[in-house]
Amino acid sequence: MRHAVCAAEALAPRELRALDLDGRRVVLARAGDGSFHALADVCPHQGARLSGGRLGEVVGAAAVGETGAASSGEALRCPWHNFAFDLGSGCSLLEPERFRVRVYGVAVEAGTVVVEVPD
Amino acid sequence: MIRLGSETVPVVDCDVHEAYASIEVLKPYLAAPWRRYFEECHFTDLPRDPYVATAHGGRRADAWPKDGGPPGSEYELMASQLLDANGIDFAILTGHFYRVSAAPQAEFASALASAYNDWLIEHWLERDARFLGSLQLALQDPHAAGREVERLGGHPQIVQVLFPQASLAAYGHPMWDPLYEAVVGHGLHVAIHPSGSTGILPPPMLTGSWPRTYMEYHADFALTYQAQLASLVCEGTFLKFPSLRVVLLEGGFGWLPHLMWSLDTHWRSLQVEVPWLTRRPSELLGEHVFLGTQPIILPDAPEHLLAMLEMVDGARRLLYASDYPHWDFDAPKRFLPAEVPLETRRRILGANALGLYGLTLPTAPAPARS
Repeated sequence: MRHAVCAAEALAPRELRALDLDGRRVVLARAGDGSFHALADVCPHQGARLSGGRLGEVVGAAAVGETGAASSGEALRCPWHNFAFDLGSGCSLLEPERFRVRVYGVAVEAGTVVVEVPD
Repeated sequence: MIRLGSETVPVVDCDVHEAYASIEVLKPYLAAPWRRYFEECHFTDLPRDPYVATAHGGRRADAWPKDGGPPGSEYELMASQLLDANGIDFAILTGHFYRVSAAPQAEFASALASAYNDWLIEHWLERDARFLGSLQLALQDPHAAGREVERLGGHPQIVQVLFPQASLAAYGHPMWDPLYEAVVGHGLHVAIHPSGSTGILPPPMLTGSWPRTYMEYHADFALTYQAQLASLVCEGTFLKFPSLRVVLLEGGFGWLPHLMWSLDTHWRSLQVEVPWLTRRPSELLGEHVFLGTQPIILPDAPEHLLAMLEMVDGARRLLYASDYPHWDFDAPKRFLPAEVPLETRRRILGANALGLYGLTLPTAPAPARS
């Protein structure tokens, strides 16, 4: 089922929005580069609503013991335990085989964000 | 070698405490400036732990040499009472001299450590090929300690360096990196032993205070090990030194599952603070850390011990240790309950240590003891 959820300009980069699509909870995320992503709005760890979290940079390390390296991307961070999920795959950055958030199809059609979820 | 089921298996004892009758034995190995500390300044020994060891004064009551000196100070008694009687193929000497890191004067401490290592080689290692040695280091000066590793780390019977459990900075601190570089450069490992020290070192459990009883103090060794391992993992020491292996002695192993999974739990949430840590802490611990079995724990239900052995991958990571001649000696033939599978016992008794330290049994092993 396809859902037209909002105008593209309604979300700023790095903004999250909680959606209820026929009873299915979805978090719509606009990444820093302007792209849209739709994921299940539930953390696979303990069930927190990911829409209450934030989009944050992934901190890198230039070497062991050295912080502050350039970001290597951004991730959706759970508001409770700070787990980080890749926006594209929904996988945990650290343990992709163990924790994964369901990802839905999303497109911008004539300035409107359209999310597709299973019937 | 000892009989185990239908097999004869090697035994490696990873924690044996040789001793001197008096620290005066080190005087011939000291240069003149430091000998004066003995002769004119009445230096008598290193700082000792503040407890009365309420089991026989801390040593097996049957291990006192007839001709005087403390347990562990007479080669003939150790050879017969420990090595021969228990079929031990290799005994890794750990001494008590790690207390040298508790002495305030770093240069004197470094000189003492060097003197001790020379004495160890001459009076123990060269006397019996079954002995392997641990270099004692004065960690007040990590660079001097590194030079000591360079000086003697190539000795064929030196297999590791020994750190006291209490330390001026946790062992993951980058201040130790030059020393680790020297250690791994010589293919050596790091063994850590409960320090039994006061002097300039903090209380061993890193709580800032000393417990009131020896019993409590002894049980707390496991706490300090957890702090040291957390430091080594979080600081990325195992990533900087991939070949580094750390052996924890006399702290048991039953606490390790908690630490492994606790670090994993925190890593999932807090890795942003240690972004270099791209591997699970439990994986790093599994790869880099080995543990002496002593003092063995005996749950009421043997299956609980079996479960714990499985959790810590004991068949690969545990090393038999007797702690001879101390009161809490674990006997190789009896320390594990009969429920522990033979293959696990075989590995713990000797195979794991043979692999870790790259040891080869002599072609004509000592007769097996039943």
